[in-house]
Amino acid sequence: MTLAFPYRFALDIFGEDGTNLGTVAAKRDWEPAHEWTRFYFQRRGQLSLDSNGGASTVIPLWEHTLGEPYCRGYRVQIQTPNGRPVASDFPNTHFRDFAAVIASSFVAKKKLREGEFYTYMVVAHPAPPETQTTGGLSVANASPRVPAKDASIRDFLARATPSGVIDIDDMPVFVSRRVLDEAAEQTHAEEGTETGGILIGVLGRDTIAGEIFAEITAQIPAEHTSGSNVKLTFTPETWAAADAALRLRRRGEIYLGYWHSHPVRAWCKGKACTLEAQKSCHLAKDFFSADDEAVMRAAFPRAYSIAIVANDTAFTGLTFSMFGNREGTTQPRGFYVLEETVHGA
Amino acid sequence: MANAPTANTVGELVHEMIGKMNLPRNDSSGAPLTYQARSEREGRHLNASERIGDALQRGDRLTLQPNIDAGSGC
Repeated sequence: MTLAFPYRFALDIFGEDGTNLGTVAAKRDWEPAHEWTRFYFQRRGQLSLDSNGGASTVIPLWEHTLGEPYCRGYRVQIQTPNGRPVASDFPNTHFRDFAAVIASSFVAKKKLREGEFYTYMVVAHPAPPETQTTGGLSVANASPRVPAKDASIRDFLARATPSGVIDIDDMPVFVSRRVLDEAAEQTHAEEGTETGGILIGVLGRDTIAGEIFAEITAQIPAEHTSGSNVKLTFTPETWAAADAALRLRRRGEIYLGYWHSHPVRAWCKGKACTLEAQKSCHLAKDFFSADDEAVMRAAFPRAYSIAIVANDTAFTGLTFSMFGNREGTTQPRGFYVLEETVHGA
Repeated sequence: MANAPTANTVGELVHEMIGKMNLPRNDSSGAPLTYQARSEREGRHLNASERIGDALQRGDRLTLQPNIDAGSGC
């Protein structure tokens, strides 16, 4: 479902002395915030699982003191059949990365000094009326449904061990121990080189509380990839092979995300980092690069999708980090390890 | 999808579908992403230069599959 923008957003950039250095039209990927909003209300039963929801709009939230056109954030609003929209609000920090890009360009243009402190404000102005065009390609989502089957989350929790920090606002994710063991085995086999796989499983809807949760039942080793110690390339042939493997299983499973390894010990060896430095390095655990996020965005854009990273460090055994969409941005999150698949493999 | 001009190429179709489906056009460094369209009926990736009228039939299902890197940026 297309997002409507009755307002155009922009950033005012200010130098250290508060001088307005210029206004730049905001370029932002709104879809993760849109996805998260829709799924948030689907989880709570306020939007149907069977559709993409009604018309969706991005509108500014005006700054309390300064008022229009200054924003304190933005709102994604989705119409419902009963006429009352549901909405989620998002902060101006969502524009932080774009502001950094603008600041870099301002340094190049000598509007900012290298290393100079800058601030930004988000502004919004009514969009010009759009010229209606007729004809052209039209696209509709052939499978908008969130395919959640009735299940008992209690059955899963009874056989699961939490891993990482469990946030009660995150959709619960249960990962079969076998999946993690296979990922570990593949990581060790390819030590020093990034490797990975596609995560598949099922979505459940708890019959008592209605909460949607995910069970990752298997991982399909990614084929037709090329990997180095810092990169893993997924090709169209990778996805085609995963499609074929998923179809062969005939278990009603869907794509839930992907996993890949971070050969941290190889990175550290290359940079001659001390063991102490490695232990406190931000790359050692819960690190998800912009490239890693880009794979999620392009291949697993649904809000229920997750990514797992296998951290292969020199100072501890292999650990796993999970990432998912929380409030429109990709965040590290906790999950549950299932010692056996509840419904059988 | 509907109203795909049969004289257009698969590449042009993919370009337009990416926009309509809100898929990202660039990777994290700003470089253009490559997507290939896979035909479920023929079980192959379509060439960008193929004509829609030659490659596709009414009711065909296409999957857009990217060539994309995960990486540390390290």
